[in-house]
Amino acid sequence: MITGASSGIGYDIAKGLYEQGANLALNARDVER
Amino acid sequence: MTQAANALGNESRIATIPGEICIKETGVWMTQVARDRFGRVDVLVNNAGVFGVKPFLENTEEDLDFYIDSNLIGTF
Repeated sequence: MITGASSGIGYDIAKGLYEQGANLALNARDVER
Repeated sequence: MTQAANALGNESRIATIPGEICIKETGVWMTQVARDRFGRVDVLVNNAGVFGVKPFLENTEEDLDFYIDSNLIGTF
């Protein structure tokens, strides 16, 4: 689970974990971004 | 949220939970979705935060509430 995952450090952590094969639950304020 | 998820790729490995993290229900919902979709939660990256990009004196009381709610309350 990653909060603030639509940009910045949150997004890059999501990318890194995704590339390592993790399942992700992503949260962000903005539905579109 | 949607754009970020699409940029990453395979939908079957990504659940999106849009919402204000300072609202308790958002966190509860995110945990439920994660457990329902993937069975368990291994890691929380407690990353969400906000910053007002404007001169100090231009911050309103509403801005301050938003900073406290997101950066302090939201991390719990």
